[in-house]
Amino acid sequence: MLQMKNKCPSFFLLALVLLSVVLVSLLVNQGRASDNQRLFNNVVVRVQHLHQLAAKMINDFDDNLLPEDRRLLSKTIPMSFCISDYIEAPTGKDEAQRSSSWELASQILSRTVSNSLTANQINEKLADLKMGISVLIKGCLDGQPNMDDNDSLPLPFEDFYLTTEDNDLTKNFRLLACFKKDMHKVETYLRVANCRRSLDSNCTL
Amino acid sequence: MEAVLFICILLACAVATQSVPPTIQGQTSTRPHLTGCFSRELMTFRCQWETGSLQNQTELDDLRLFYSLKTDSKKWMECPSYSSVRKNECFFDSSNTIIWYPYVVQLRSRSPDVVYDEMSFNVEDIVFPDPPVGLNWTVLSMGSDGLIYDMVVSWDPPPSAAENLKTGWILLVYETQYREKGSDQWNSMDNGKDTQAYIYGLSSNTEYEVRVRSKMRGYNFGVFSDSIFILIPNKESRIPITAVLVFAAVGITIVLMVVVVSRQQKLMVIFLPPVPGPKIKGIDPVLLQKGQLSEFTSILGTHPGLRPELYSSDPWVEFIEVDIDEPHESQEELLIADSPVSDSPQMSSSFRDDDSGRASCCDPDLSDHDQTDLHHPSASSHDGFHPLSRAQSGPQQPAAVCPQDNTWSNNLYSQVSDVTHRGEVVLSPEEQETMALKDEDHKKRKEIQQLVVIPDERGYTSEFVAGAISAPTDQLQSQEQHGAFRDIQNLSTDMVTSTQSSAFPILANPTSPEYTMVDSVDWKNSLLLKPNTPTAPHKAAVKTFPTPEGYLTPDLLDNITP
Repeated sequence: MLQMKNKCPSFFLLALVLLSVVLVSLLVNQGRASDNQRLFNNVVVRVQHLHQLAAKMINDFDDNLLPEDRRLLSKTIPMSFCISDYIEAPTGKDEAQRSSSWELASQILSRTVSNSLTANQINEKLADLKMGISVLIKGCLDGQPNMDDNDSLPLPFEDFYLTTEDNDLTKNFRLLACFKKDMHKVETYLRVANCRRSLDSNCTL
Repeated sequence: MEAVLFICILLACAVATQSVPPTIQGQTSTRPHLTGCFSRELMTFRCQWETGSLQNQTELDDLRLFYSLKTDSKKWMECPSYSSVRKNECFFDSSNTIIWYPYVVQLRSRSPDVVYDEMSFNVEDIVFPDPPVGLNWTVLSMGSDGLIYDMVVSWDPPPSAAENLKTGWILLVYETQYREKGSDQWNSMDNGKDTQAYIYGLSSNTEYEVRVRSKMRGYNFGVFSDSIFILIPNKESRIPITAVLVFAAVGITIVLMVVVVSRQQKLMVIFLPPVPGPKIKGIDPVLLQKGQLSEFTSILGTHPGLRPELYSSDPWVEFIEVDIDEPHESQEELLIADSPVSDSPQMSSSFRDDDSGRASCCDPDLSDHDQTDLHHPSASSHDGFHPLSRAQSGPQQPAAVCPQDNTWSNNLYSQVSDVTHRGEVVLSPEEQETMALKDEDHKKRKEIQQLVVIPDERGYTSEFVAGAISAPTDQLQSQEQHGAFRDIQNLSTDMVTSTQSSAFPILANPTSPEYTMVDSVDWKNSLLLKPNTPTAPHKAAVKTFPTPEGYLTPDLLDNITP
């Protein structure tokens, strides 16, 4: 589970980077039709799979918890945050549909993405997701968005989870919870974006 | 010591109670507590609490709900809107709802600022979608026997989350459960995003209960929908099918019976073809046994060309064509069969044995015209019918009874009424003639001139000849029509010699009436002639004529041949 410490923030950062890039590209160029749509659907599907994987992981973790540990976790976890909390991202439906703040998030994340990938199923999936989104960006947008902005927001990344005073159990639980939450976030953003650019009135991805 | 121990116990109890988080452990029944916060569509949420056993009304009114978003800032805000429809509920609208952020909610009392209860959560973790609505079912397929069927259940998404579903903000997955009524075990099916479920292998005549619930993927299920009850009665299609089969079988049987009965004759012939009798050329043994030689002779006594009814195209019958291109040849050659000389009772080749077997079974009326001259003693070189064969006539002269004078022209035939055991022919008109002759030879002769011509040694005579030389008087014609020619094996010339003439006046009187065709032979052994039948059809057939004394000379033939 220690690997999760390194990977959880990178997961989310990577995902957010890709996500924001995708969103920017979508805003700029919505003319590309079926090709991008197909890629977008593919990306959304991959994110959904990752989210399902994260949910399953935390459920398995929770099922194996001892009752006293569960009690302990329920007390401490709500007070903890994920690193994604520091990244400004839409937190509501209206914000998500506007998608104006995602560009900033993408710029921030582009600077802070760290690659600590190891041979892991999740890492592979995230790598595929990143690749897909990058292809989508190239199709939607000419070049990458400008992510060289300096941001004053402190973004503790890899050390975020390590510096907490939680025990291993708590840390692992936090990593899993954050992973699941981040995946749900990204999935929601991508789905909203895809539904918005698709002409179907009834979007059920 | 005891006091210290007591104090330690108290402290321990205090610590134990404090270690229990108020959010996990159930509060005492008297304290107000939060019952739960839940969201329906990931856009809004509400929190509810209970007052417990708080009696004081003022305290009840002072219950407040405070929440905080960021624990580090500890900014507590009061409930944005207390619900009006329901008591003790706080509603957070979309503007106050922040997803993926931890909330801390506290239930406080105003005045003493007592925190009764506290709760922390993320909004996505408290999403409990509404149950789907509009459940209905359709039979997908039914088994052939009506016992097993497949069903598809469909529903609509919950109306509260419908808008978010359309925009893609929320994604709901569904789970279907069904069970037989009365059973406690539910069968669960995960349908995913589809708003319909296929249930296979349901039994008819069994009531099923189906319910559906929805959830956001990765999070919590909502409550179940109202159950629907499905019951498909067994139509018992077996019984109608068997009844239909039975009726069909009965109907077909009846039809077959009707067909068989209606066409019994034909079916009998088809299934039980008539067995042909023994094919014996020339003779019907039955008739021989009966002694009805009259049947034979009546037929055989006629020229073979003048027996149209006896002729047939029966392939069984051997029929040897007689060459008639050379009239100058001897007459015996005309009708001489090609068969070698034999005493065997061969059938006349000129005959058509068309009824050798049939006459005995199917057409008893049809006379057997086979040759009956099996026992003819004469070893003739020919077995044909030679009415006036001069060569083979030999000693036997045709017993031609004809008047000798030339005036005798017409009625030359007489009816043979009977044949004696000796073979003598008893002619009815002969008797008349004889009587007439006895009375008045000439007169009667002129008037009644009948001729029994038996030109052949076998006693055959030609009807053609008879017709040619017969007088067209009524009496004679009637007798002529009834004239019969018999096959007389041994004709005594006594009877005939008296009236035998050496010449047939017909040769001198070619103007005699035309020939007639024998229509049939009745039971009296008399020929039934066709009325006014021209002689044309028979001219070709008949080539010979009775010669004087039974012989036909070629020169006579020239005169007669048409």
